[in-house]
Amino acid sequence: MSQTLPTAPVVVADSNVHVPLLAIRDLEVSFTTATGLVSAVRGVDLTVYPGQTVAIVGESGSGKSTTAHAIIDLLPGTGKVTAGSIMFDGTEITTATEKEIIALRGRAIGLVPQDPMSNLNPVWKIGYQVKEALKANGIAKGSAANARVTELLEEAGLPDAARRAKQYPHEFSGGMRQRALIAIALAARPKLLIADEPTSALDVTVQRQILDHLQHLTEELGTAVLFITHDLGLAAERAEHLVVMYRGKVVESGPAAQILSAPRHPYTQRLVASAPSLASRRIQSAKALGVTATELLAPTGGDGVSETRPDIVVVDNLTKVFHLRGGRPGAAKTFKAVDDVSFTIKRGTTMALVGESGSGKSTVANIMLNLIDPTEGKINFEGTDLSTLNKKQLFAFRRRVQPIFQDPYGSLDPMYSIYRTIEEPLRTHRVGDRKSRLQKVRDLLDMVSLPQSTMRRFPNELSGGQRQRVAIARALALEPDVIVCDEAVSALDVLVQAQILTLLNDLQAELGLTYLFITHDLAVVRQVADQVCVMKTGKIVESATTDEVFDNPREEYTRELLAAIPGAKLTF
Amino acid sequence: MPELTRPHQSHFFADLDSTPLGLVDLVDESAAPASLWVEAWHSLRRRPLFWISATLIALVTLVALFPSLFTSLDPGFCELKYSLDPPTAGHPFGFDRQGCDIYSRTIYGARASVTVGVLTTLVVVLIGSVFGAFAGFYGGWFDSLLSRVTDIFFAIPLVLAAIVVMQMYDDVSVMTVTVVLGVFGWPQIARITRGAVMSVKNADFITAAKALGSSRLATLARHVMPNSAAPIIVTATVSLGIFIVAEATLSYLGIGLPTSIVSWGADISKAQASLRSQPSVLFYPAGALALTVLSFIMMGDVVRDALDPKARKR
Repeated sequence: MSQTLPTAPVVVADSNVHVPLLAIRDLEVSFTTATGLVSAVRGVDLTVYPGQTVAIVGESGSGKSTTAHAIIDLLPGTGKVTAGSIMFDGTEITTATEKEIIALRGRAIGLVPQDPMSNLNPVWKIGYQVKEALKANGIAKGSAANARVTELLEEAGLPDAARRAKQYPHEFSGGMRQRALIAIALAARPKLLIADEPTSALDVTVQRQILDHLQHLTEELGTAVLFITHDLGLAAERAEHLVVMYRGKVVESGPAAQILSAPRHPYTQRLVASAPSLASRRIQSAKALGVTATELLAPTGGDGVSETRPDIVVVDNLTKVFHLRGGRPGAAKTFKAVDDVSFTIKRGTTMALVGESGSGKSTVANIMLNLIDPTEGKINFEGTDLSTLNKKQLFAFRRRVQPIFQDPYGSLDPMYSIYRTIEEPLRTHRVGDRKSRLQKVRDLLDMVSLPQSTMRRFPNELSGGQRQRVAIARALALEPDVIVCDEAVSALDVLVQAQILTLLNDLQAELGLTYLFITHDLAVVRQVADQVCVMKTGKIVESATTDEVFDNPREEYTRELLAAIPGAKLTF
Repeated sequence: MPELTRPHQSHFFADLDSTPLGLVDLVDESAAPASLWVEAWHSLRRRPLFWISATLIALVTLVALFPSLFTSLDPGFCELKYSLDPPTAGHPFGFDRQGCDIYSRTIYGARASVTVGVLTTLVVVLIGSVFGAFAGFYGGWFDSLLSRVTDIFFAIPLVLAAIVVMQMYDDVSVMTVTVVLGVFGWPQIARITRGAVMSVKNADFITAAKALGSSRLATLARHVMPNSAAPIIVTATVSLGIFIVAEATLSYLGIGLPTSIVSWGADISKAQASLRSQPSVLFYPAGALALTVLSFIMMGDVVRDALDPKARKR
């Protein structure tokens, strides 16, 4: 990623680096709701000096994005600044007129939005959209602008930029779109770039490339960056100064290294302790160790897998081919989603299937759940070939393998109370009578540490983590042997994620469950898995014990994935 | 790039009192449990428009069921000597050309309209949601067939089709009008249901139901349909008003209900002749029709707002 930057209007940060570029003091942002004024951000202080990278870290709902949007006066809906001041380069933004703010946007403050899929207009060519940024800020016009567009796209790391500028967003991958958005944000050479979770929708390896490039670019241009993320490891790796937000307040701020090594506020301590990207050990079940201590992270003893355990699942040369509709009738294309995949899972252990989007890992999960049939190959479940099951046997098999899905908002029927949701599998399989089922639901809720009163509630009243607990309770209702977790913790906040992982692990120790853990996040794998299979474009490229994969990766691709874990390079 | 020396930024941390640390992911046990329907009701009852339309609908229904509560006069009893007389005591709306009491005719006219509207909506929802649900859930040839059939129906305007078919019947009753409107009205609900079912059927909770062994039909009935109900209810409420208009149109053209049944449409048609001399003759049946239709359409509107999941927190 080395290239020379064009010598076009580069605004180098003023020599005076002692005057803050952005100074937020006692900022308060409130939203008008049906129940009155609700403050989303309370008393936030934040300083960004010219050329500095500052990261705001927090979980969803902590007010980090709201703070960022207040800076460019793009608060959504009924939100407005109710107190405090935002001083940007000598201009008070809270009292500035709309005209002044429009002059600042783009030209002085650039924004890289979160979702690259929805932030480009699908009906305009990429080049036109970059040119729009140039024209709106009065940088260039006509053919000069066209030449500049190519330069900007090239600079954002887009290969073959002149041709790419003539393409539409749907012809771009997620990473390429994010590069185009970076080109737009930096088109007018702003002094401050606000990057709102710029890479959370992308695969880890792409994320790393883009962040590396962005860092290199802003350093060269002397642009200050306000980086917003939920990932403490990522923030610590990319920013020199961290601001940790919790429930609309800044709970801790300071130099990144200092916060990581000596967090002072209990919330930050909690965050540092459970950030998956910073953990380096498998969670050991407190119950399995016979201790009740809060210390749940302990080094794995040996390979963590007993050799004497029997194989419960044997996957043999699994292949799945999908037929895609072609451009004209009859012109069907085939797509090999899973290509000759074999692995075995031992009873009571966790097998992680790791890969980036499109690697075929979810297809394997669906074949495992017997929701789709493999094209070739077979899965043996305790010696029975799944493809030979008749309808009745299949019904019985359903009791033994249960799924937990990624999206806690989509996996529970919004019309069903929690009681009905957890009771449904029991009713479907005619287990017990009404009274015994009620007792079973109570026990299951206890098992996943939810209060029993939850069962009268509906999914829309619960948070993501709580819904995921309900989904786990539903999966456990039929006392299955194997649970397929398809990205089961990816959508959750870090602390909640750590809780759910601990819960899954305790349940494994208590009930002897076997997990097939599908994930894109290697950091999570380290915490839960005994065995790892790394998948790439439908094939398994590496398969070994977790410790071996992490300490001694054999394949280049695995090494690349490991290096892309945010915070992997941090030592403290 | 030269090394920049920025001013020292100290390590700040808030004291614990100002930001108490909550337990991670604590369940709020204080609030009352609320299903989507309960939440929809909570948002509905805050809307004045809901109460206005609900009152109007209740009033119209009451009038349709028990017209004798509102007037003691027989709508069929007319005396030519009162022809086009202005309102007098006991006859608040005056008389039409035939000397009939407009007030009692307006009251009795509600029954035909509301009956046709409600029955047609029932027929349409029954046929449309069953066909739409199967097409959306199972897909395949049935879906293709249904889509083409509904396309054909959409090409024919509801009232035009009804006019053509109604011509064939000499002996028309409320049932005939209902059946004819129902036969041409179901494709819309079928389309709506199909769309709603298709958007629900790929949700994770449907996959979860399959994975725990629910049969396809049970999944459709227990999970897919309850989650597709909202758009069907909204469309049904709005189309109830539209069917009332269709009935009035047919009666106005003289091919709807026979003159023996009092109907707003027929009265509007008759009132045309006296429009210049006595506009109020037209005003009352037309006003009653407009108010009834408006109340159903307003109801559909507020119900849509209440049931729209995007309008509420997830």
